[in-house]
Amino acid sequence: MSRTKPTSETERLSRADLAYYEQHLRNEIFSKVLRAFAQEAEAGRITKAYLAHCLGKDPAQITRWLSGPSNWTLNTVSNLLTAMDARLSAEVVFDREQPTRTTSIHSRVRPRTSKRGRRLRKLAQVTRCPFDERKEQ
Amino acid sequence: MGNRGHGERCARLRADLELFVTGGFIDPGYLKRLQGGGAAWEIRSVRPRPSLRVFGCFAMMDVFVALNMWARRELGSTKSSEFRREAETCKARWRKLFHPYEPHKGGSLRDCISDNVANEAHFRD
Repeated sequence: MSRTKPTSETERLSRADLAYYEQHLRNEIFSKVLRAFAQEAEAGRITKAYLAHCLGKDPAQITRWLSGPSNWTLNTVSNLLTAMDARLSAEVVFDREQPTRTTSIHSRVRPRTSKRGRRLRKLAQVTRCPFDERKEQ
Repeated sequence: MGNRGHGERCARLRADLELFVTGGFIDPGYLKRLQGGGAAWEIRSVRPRPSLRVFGCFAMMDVFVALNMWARRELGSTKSSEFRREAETCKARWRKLFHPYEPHKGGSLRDCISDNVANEAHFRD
């Protein structure tokens, strides 16, 4: 699929699609940072008090940060990781064969007839899929 | 909230629920047991407003069955009658759907989720 010039068939992404992927990315990064903190805390190598001291913040602020990604900015991620002596390794992956984005996820709100979304429907099972198995799929 | 805003909020809620489905890291800010709610838990989708709560029970380790949903503002404080009512609703819906099977009972996240889950002690004040 060429992405150089928009044609009459080029579909504009809906605001709901964009919101979904914004949230997805936010959760993914939050999840990675929190897992790193939890592993270090489990091993007794870090505490919230230590993070608060390093960053010159109130411990309650660290608690708020660790309780949800809603107010996070990229600076928050950087600050927390720096205080943990860690960094985020990120890469961009193109899904050229099977586009990542989908419109079917919002069909109940705004029905459309797009063929996209098979991949996410497959993901939407009730059972939680352990990380290791997911990598193998 | 208009249709457009509603669609966007639903999309974000879906992304939040998929964190559980895809094996993402679960912490007490995301999944919380209802106070005095027996086997009932809530998944919290906090931002953007309106903040949403999805209530349900675990059928077994790692298998969460969502049974109801509310906007947080409709629920009052965590000890309010609305929250107690929600725990009762979960119990009743569970019975209706799965009787005679009981929901999985666990007091902590690690009792209900096998992998990639926070030790709650490290996240408390």
